[in-house]
Amino acid sequence: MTETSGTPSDPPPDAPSETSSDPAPREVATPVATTKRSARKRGPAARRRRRSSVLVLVFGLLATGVLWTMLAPTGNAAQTADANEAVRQGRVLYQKGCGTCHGLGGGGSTTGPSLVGVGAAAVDFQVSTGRMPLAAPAAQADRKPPVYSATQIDQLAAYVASLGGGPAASKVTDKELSDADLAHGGELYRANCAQCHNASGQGAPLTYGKFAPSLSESTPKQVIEAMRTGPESMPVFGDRQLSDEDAVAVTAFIKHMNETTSPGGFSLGKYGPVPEGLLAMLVGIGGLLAVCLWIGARQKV
Amino acid sequence: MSDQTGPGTPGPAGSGGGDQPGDSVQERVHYAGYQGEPADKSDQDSMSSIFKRAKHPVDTSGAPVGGSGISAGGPDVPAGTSDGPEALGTPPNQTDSTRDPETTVMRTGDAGVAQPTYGTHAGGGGGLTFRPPRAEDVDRRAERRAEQLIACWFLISVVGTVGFVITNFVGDKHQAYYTPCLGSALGLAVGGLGIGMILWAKRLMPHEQAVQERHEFTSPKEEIAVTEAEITAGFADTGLARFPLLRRTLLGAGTLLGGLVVVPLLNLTNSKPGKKLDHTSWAKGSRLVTEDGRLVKLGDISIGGIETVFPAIPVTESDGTTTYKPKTDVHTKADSTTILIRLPPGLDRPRKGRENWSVEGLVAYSKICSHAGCPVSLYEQQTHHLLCPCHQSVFDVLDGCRAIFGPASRSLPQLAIAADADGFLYARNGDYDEPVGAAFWERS
Amino acid sequence: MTTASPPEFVKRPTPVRKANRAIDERFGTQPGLRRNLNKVFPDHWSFMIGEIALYSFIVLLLTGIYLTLFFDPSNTEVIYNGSYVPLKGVEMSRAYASTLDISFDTRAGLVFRQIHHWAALIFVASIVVHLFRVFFTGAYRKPREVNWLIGVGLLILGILEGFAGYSLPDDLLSGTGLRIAASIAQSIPIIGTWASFLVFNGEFPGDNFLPRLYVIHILLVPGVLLALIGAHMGILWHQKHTDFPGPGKTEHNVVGHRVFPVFAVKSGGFFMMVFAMLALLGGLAQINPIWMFGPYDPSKVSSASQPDWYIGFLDGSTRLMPPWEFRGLGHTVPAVFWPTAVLPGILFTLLALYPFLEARFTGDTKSYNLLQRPREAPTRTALGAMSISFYLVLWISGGNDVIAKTFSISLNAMTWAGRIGLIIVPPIAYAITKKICLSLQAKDAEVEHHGIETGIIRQLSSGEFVEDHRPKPTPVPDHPQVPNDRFALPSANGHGDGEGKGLARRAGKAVSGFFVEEKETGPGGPSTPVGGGKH
Repeated sequence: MTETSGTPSDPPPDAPSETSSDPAPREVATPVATTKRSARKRGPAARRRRRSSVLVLVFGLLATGVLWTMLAPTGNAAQTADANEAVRQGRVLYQKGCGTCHGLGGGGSTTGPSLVGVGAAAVDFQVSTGRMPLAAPAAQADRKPPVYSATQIDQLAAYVASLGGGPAASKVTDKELSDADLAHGGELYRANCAQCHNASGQGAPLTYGKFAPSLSESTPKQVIEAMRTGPESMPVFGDRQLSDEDAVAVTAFIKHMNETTSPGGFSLGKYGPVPEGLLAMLVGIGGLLAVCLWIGARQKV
Repeated sequence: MSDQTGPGTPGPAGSGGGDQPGDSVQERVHYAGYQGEPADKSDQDSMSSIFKRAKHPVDTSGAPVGGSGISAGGPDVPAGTSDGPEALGTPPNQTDSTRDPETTVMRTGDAGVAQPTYGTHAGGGGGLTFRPPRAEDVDRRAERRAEQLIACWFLISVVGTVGFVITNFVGDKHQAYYTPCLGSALGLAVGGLGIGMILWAKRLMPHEQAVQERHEFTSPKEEIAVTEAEITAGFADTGLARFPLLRRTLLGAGTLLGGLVVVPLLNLTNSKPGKKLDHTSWAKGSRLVTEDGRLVKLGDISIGGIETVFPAIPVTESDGTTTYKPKTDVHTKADSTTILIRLPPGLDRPRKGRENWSVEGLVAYSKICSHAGCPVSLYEQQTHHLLCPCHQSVFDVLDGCRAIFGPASRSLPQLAIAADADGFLYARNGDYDEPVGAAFWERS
Repeated sequence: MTTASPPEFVKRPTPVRKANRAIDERFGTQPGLRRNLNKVFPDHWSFMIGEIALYSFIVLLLTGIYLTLFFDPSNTEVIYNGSYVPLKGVEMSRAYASTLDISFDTRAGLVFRQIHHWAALIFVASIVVHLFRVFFTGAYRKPREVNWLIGVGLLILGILEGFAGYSLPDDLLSGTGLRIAASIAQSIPIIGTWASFLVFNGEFPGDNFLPRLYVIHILLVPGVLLALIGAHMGILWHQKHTDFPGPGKTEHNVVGHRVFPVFAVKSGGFFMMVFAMLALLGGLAQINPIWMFGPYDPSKVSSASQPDWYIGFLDGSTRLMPPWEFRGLGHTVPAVFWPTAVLPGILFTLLALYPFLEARFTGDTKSYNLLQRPREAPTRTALGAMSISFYLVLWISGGNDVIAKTFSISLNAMTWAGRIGLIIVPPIAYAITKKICLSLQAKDAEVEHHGIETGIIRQLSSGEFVEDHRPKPTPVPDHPQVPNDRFALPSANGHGDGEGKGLARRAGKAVSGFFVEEKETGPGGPSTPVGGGKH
């Protein structure tokens, strides 16, 4: 958790599960958890949450075991070997770059939430958008160039997925996107996304320094993973609420929005009346006042 | 306006500076008015010369100074005066009275005339100043170049117009270039003409310093007295003062008739407010349905998820079965829109009496902001805050959607929900127990 | 009835001359025509700001007529089947669908729609800048108070007209705006619910509201606007334009160019320039992309839901308003009532009454045709700066979410900054402006008395150092030179504050004292001239 203001170089605690104060399994994906203030405010609930996080951990470990037994026998030997290799590589990367905060075993620490049960989708989203590894504790992590390569991200995801369930990384294809129903996607976008990310995907501020980021740089894969995992403040849109088809349609709409040239000229950041008003003042009125000055000016001699 | 070649008009050169015209021919005499009328010499003596009036500032008591401004003569009797050149404090040789009764025009910059003086010719209280001649005034080639430049802009305008017509008809209106091209072409078409016209006025038209008198707006005392007397007499003629019955009935009738405007005003609505604002479409047993008609079941929404739901009204069919009719028309949406949020277990702090209004962490609140009616839907799943994007009111979902920041002062109304045996969510108590949306006078 | 035969044609009878004669024989136009062609207009550039408003209004009429030919203001629900793919098959109102058709399937539709919208923004903006010019130069003083009132009316109507137009396309943004408008109407004490129902024809979103709004937008308000613009111009024409003081300019003359030909050609050119600016904006800068917002749906909203700039200050005041709702005796006065109905009511009333208040409290009832420079009336200028800063805080707060996002500031911090700023910024602006005005006055007086500092320092034989001053330069046109005596400003003369009795009289006196211009004293002030031009 950020409130301990621990530096990344702090040695990770051995028993992360005891110190984790994640309120809910849903929030284990969050790189920066609730602020000190809100944690203190909800003091009475904190004990309950600590109990619930122990439960979550137990559940996560159980799920890992179950999954392991279910997954292990499937697939041929070579694939299993590849997967094992990815998990092995991922563990190395994880222990070097992530273990400091999230605990060497992925169980979380005072500076980072547990990653057990978050799934590959969350890892792929957080690391491929550059939000993880976290640069510095802030109200919210912002998008920046990713630190890891695509292969490394897959390996990390494979390792974290091996810790426990959670949604898998999205495998959306260009074909699916181009076949999607744009209009339906637009309807869903306006119903579920526009309130925070803005009708044209420009994002918006939330309370106390948090914000819904702009979608203009988001890849389709990241968009779907964000919907499924609900990173940070974002609500979760599970597949019983938005089917895979719906999710792809929304993603296709966002992609269309990002890639289409504005038919009406320069889009002014697609931010609506505020930049429009500013332009009317600066260019419109400013330019016409300059014309007034020109007309009223005396002749050059 | 033409110059002095008009038929035999001496012009008011005999005014104060009449001894000067021969001195210099730097300025052509310029007549601003129609040339057929003789000057009204008597004007020279008028009290209303600018010079004299300048020394007698406006008297606010009502009477105008001098006689100008009220000489409502016909067109053949020029009102006002022509002011003598000295009256303006300007050298006579640069001044040019006009035939216009109240406008005096001085021009500089006629072609080929060097204008040596520049600056103020202060005669008394400050006079008009002259600009130095422009290059176009002294150099025939400069004048020619200016003409070419202006013509160039006019031609640019032609190009713009042609471009607009071509883009309009030949261009593909579905391409992104269409609108920017049309706008730029139209901008060139009108802008080219505009720049050309302004350059034309600035570079080629003679500079002038026209001086026009202002009139006093206050009428002479006699005029006021006569007018008032006539109005009084007219009023007396109506007899309103003498016939009180007439006066009172007229007043009454007029007031009533004026009050009649209320009737069409009230006709503006076919539906009286009544208790309409107190109710929404939620009825007891209504299931929660999404916009695309999916009835919401337990487990549809993940923890940390939200869903916007509407009422699906139970309808008993003829065969006794119950079907659910989703109501998602615009009028229903305007007041019945509800936001369903799945909280992590154990966090909700329900209000007294609302302990069983939620099910499995699912809580339902009106999505219509209690401040100004926008849909409040920016849900932060970590802090469990709902933010309204219109005026930034913040509601704490864990605390019964209490307003904790911004201009909203009321909590969002909560909808009591429960799950039936099949897992479908429904409104257990029917409608909200308080009006949704913005407050109003009749609300307690 | 016989008439004298008109004079022979001077030159060959061109068609124009013939037409002129023909018209004159019927209406006797020549004296009036000549008088009006010879009307003199002063040249100062700032006098053309009002023209921007007039010309953008003409552009609004022209483009608006084009749009009415294609727009269908109907609430009827239809399924869109135009050429904009991301909305194909979506249910929407005819109004929204026809706006999409104008934007995507009508030749030159989008460009004229965008010009129309830009022209609306510029129309209101130029009215406001024109108002600043009139205010800070004292042009509203007697005898021009009526034109000031008409101008304020034009501003209010322009805002209403703009809001109606913004609301017509029935997109998500405009519908959200209407919802808030309905809530505001509903918030008025006693009559609110009825008012809202009367305007919207029932509970929001009402029954067939768009056709009603359409009539308001294209007939009712433009008709009144047109009439008021006519009155505004007519009064201006009749009273003649004000002018800055300058060489040869007095209270009793007006110096400049005659209407014909120079002023007419320049103004015609300026109209073209305004049109060109709007056309370029309309073509190159996208405005109100309604296809992105989607059709209106009361259950949906987009973040950064903003009104056009001229409503922004009301949005800002609503955002800054603390949650003060008055409840009692079974009734409620909602928080939204104060910042959206009471505040603009007070602001516009004060604005409209300002000329009369100033005259009342300064006791200055004289007529003026010559303008003042802002520094010549420090109290007025400071009041203006105070009002503008108040307005600006509200205006910025109206876009505080966009600012918060763009510059990564906390939204709550923005709100609090606005709330605090609204209280402390205006007085600071007042104090600073007044100080600046008084210093500028002192500086002017010094230049008037001693000339301009040259920077050349000489040592006198006595050993004293003095700086050379050169005389004030000869005034040139376009740069108003203010005579010294104009520093004496309209001050309380015993008439302004002497009316009434008791408390009212004392209050009047106190307020008059506020308006009385104090002279800057102390070093550098006009009352203590710096000795002999030495420094």
